[in-house]
Amino acid sequence: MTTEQLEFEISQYADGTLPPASRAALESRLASDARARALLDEYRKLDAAFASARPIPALNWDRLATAISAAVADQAGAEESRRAAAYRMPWVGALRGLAIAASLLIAFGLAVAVLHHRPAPNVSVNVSPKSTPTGHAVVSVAITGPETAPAAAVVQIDLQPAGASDASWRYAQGVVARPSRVVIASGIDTSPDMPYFR
Amino acid sequence: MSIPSDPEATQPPAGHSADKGMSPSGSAGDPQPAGPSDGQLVTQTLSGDRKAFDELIRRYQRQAVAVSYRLLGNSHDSLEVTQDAFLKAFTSLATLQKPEAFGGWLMRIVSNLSLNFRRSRKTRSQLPLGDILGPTGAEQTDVTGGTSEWMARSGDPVRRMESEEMGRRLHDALNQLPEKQRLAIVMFTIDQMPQKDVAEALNCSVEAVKWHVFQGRKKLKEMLKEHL
Repeated sequence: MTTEQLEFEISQYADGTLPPASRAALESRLASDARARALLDEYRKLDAAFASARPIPALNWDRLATAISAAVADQAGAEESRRAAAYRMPWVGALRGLAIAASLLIAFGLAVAVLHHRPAPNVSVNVSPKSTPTGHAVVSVAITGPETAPAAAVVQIDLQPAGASDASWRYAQGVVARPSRVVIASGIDTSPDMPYFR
Repeated sequence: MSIPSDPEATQPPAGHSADKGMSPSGSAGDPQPAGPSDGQLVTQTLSGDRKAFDELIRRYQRQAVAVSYRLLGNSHDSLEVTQDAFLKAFTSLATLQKPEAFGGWLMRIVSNLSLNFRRSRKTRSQLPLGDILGPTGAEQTDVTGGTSEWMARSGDPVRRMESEEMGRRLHDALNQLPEKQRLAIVMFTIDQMPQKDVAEALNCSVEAVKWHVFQGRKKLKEMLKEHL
């Protein structure tokens, strides 16, 4: 038995919840183990402090019960009144449903209108340096447009040697065969002193 | 079997057991309330009998105040929380899946509201506290500034000061425990609720309650070792 297990049993023994089967074994151990007895003593002292902490404020329990019951009755009464009012004026419920439906329709119409009139963001691309046979190329893509563009901007990145034509670059020797590590970051400065962008 | 030299070392523990503890309506050792069970009262309340809920209020108000009081350290706040807890229990009663477990379920509401209250420290007061708080309770609130009213019962001034000091230390130490350990200590060790009710309140098993109690006591023992 580990010290933790022993202490757990002593804690339960002190508060009277240790199962009878374990209790006899623990009492036997307490009889011969001074450390176990010292632990039990510590828990009993702690329990004595708890025992002193038990008093709660002097209350008039009857009045408290009456006050709580009255509050519950008020709440129940208010709820019943609300239900009764709804029962007496069923058209109120129907009107409420119509109002919700109309609101949803208006919101849907506004959303459709906004989506169909989204301005295309302006995209400008700067490549620096123009050609880097070895090393890194830093490409800065600046997207300008409304602060809250309704759709994500799409940027296509083609890797090819400088000067290769669109038709032939794929067959050129030394094409970007093994760099092909594209790191994309957004929302940060692309200045040279930001090495993690490279 | 030989008896250890310390005659108290193996004396049967004076604490409570897993199956008995403070009855809902009073202090430890009180008989269980006669009359309908909690489950029956819940069922009657749900069928429209509000007096049945009044009986539940009478059964559990002491326990609710006690738990809230340990967590908040202030009688006024604990009364507000107790009322709120009963209101919430009444409006949510239909969601209680095990009507017989009303006590533990209510204590879960009480502990949640108390912890929320501690965070927000509401200031409203709807209850007529002057009528409800006895003279001793009101006096305690004034004396201790509402932070720790524990152990302020002794008539001996020196002993009372020592008790108040110890109460403050215990309260501060309890506040440093993880939430479940603190609740387990408050409900089981201090307020002597049955373990199964504590388990219901903490939404865990009885074995887990035992473990939370043990871990909490172990930490408290360490924190308070110079003062025990």
